[in-house]
Amino acid sequence: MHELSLAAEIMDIVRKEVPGGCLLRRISLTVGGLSCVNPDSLVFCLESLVGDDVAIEVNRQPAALRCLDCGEEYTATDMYQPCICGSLRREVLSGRELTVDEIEMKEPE
Amino acid sequence: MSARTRRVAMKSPVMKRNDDAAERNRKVFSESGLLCLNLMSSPGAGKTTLLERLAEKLGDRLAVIEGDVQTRRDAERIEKAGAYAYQIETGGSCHLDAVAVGTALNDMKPFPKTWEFLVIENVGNLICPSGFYLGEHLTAGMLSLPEGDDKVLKYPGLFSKIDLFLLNKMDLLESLRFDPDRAEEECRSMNPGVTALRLSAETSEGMDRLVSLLEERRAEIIS
Repeated sequence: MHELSLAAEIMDIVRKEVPGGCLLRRISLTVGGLSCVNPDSLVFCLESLVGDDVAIEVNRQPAALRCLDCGEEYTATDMYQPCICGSLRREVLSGRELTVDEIEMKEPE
Repeated sequence: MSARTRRVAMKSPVMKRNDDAAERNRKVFSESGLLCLNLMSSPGAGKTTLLERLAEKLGDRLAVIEGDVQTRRDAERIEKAGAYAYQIETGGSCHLDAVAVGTALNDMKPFPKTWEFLVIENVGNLICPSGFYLGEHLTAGMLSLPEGDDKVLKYPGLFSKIDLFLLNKMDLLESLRFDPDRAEEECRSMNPGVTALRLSAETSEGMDRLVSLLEERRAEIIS
């Protein structure tokens, strides 16, 4: 359910960048694999807020992890994916990102 | 003339407003000598009962911020047990955010000099609260025995990040099929640095250990 709060926050961030008269057309986001955000749910919430005329693009960024048992560096798309050695003990190198990367708008004629 | 398309590169972190507010809260805690604990669990795990026991032990050394969707019921229980309580009613939201906590802190000022510990009792929920840093020094995730010993891996967002893993309602161990070792091992499998504590807010088992642990952490953090 917190995706709705995040969608509202995203729209606050985006609206500051859209001058009067311009029409928002696209929002591009990055959602990290360990961000605790369900991308489908976030897109649903954003679409509910902005309607069908705005495309929502999500770049799902796999998490980069380093295993604390064997030292292997690996990527994971969710929290349950263990290292090839079977361990879930890891250092998170990246994967908690949630960013608005780019927006696109139509300027008035 | 056709309408032109304009692109704006942003790379804006969505959590920035929350995290900036959390840093301001953190500063308030540190300046006031308060150790802040963010307590999270599912509804009914016993957060408020645990805080009643803490209130009885700590009295005016403890302040509590209660987060609930609706009612002042929890704050009233804490006040009755002898500590200060501030109720945030989220009105539907499933978690507390740092901005709401900052507003509460402003409302609570000036802080009495006796306060040493501030516990934020988050909205009962094992998912959303773990995504919002409030400025706390310590996070605790509590699981109670009736919920089942298989829950830790189902909620990795919370249990992989917490500092304290509290197993509550240990007084029910004999009547339930719950393996405390399994729950703690699963928590450690994702979170090797976690400190695990078994307790019963009902019988006060383990409460003295929790109080000493909070006192030790406060001594480390607040110089």
